[in-house]
Amino acid sequence: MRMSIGVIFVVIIAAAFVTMMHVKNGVQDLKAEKHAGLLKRESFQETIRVLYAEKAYLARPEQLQAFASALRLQPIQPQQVVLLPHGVQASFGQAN
Amino acid sequence: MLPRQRRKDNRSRQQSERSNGFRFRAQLLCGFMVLGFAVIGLRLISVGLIPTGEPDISLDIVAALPAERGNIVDANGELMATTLTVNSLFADPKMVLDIEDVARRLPTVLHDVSAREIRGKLAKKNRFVWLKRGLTPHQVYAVNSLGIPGLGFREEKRRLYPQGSLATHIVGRVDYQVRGMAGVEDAFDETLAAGNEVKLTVDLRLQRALHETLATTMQSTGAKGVWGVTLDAETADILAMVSLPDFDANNYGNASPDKWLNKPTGGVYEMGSVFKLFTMAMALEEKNIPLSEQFDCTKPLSVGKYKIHDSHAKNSWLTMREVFAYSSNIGSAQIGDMLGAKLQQQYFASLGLLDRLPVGLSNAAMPIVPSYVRWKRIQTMSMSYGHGIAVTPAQMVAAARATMVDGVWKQPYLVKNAARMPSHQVFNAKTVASVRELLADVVDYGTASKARVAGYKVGGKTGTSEKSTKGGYLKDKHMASFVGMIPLNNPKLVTLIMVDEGLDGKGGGGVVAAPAFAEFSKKAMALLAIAPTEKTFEMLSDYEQTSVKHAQYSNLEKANYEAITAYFTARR
Repeated sequence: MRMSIGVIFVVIIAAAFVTMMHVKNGVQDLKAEKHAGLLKRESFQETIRVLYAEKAYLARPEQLQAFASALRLQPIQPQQVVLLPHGVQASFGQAN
Repeated sequence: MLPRQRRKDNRSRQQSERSNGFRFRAQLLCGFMVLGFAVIGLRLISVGLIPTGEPDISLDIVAALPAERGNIVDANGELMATTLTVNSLFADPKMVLDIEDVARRLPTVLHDVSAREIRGKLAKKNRFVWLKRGLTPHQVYAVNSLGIPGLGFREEKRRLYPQGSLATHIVGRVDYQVRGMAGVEDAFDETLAAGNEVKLTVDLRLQRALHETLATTMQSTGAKGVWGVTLDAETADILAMVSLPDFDANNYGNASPDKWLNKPTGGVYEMGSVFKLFTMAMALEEKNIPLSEQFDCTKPLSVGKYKIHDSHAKNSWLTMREVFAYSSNIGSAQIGDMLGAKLQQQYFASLGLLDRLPVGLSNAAMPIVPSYVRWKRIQTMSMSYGHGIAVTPAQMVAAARATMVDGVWKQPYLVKNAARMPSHQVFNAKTVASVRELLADVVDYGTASKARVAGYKVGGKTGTSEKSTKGGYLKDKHMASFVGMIPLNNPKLVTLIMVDEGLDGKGGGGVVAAPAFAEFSKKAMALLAIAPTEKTFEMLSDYEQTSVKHAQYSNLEKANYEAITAYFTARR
């Protein structure tokens, strides 16, 4: 009887330790995964920043104007802007 | 009792006592173990199920990193300033095997680093020298490809301005520690340093249109400098602000310091005749003078030892609208004299002309105005046509917007959703309507015919002032200006353009600044998709234009001009 109680206790304690270790390892893995994810996010954010800056540099008005000139495109003239009748404007507004 | 029986009883009692003792200890142990497991169980539940609120270590690490300096973007979200990680090249001179080899090969991939410079740096006894900072990814790849021992890269944060020189005075600059030093970078340093984005009111499309127009003006007139500010007529938001000459914001160290000053906010100038706008508005508001009231402009006006002349002398009696259209100093001085110093001070103060005007940049110059004690009759008269008082172009355009558009002074500002000074009413609607008539006259048959824009009614005022030095005024060095709004009947933009010593210093506002206004406004109207609504002079045929011009040359006044223009436009 004493023997079996002792064995049960030892087994329970061992099981608890194993479970605790397992949980702890799991938590550590998840933390490492999260940290890697955060670093990856940082890296992506940096890439986005670079691409955003590159886009701004390439699409700056001066550059676009140079491309337009090369393609013989002319800037919009005021006479090309027309006022639509009120009803048409309203329907555009609704469509949008 | 037999002794054997007694012994047996004793043994039995001892066994029973021992058994009781063991049971007690086992129960005690059980109790401790149950307690222990209960604690462990509770802790497992608390760890697994109940959020503890304890800070996460990895998040702590991320949070502890300094925030990336925020971006600066224009009104449409276009990037104007950002922070990127760049690689900088360093060397450990002791690890470099062959200095001559490095000096020979490195300049082949880094063209702005000379062999001599490299030799000098590698000859040092330090273990660390910078060879070049802020390399592009392509340059990093090229340097790595050389395979030179002793060289290394270190990551650094660098502030980049993708728009180059387009809005250099607005965005400003940072120092090597990425701290704001000028412009929005300086004025909003704390906000940006905390990682927040700053959104400007500036529209890069209009900024480009203004920049291009002013650069062309500077080139064609040979001016020393040209600058301009455009405001949203309704909100007083600064939509574009350019100061030329300028420099690439990414390379401010190579620009001469005289280019660093943002003239629209950091410079103060005598504006000249554009100030007549305020004189007229004050007279209309306070004295209710009819526009047909006549003033003696037949000869120069003598005030004590001073004599006031007209640049475009008509040598006749002029109505109030003619005083404005022909920009008569003599007539304006008489109106200013009629108003008096006290009223003039009150209005100038109300129009924000007497105090520093911040617009969201770090440099806002203090206007130069006479002290209240020295604000005498001659000062009042000369300030009525824009001499004896020097203000910043930003102050000027803000005051002009109030006078021309809605009579309400609003603080012009560069940053969206920022707290501004409270707005206040300066002129009533009737005064504003009369001022607009005067402004139209100036463009239609006055000094600013070159400010006309085909398809749009334009109103504005020219100004030409002699530049001053310590010894007095320079007769042959002029500062030309034009302030105007478009379209006149439903104002969208108010723009001030100033030209410093255009056409060898002789260029006046109507000759050098007004055409720049017209050119910019034409581009801006198309960019903002504001359709033309007027059949203006420019839309007439050559024959019709000649007839109208003939009417002007024949000294026919506005009524005739309008009649002839109306005749031709009605025929079309």
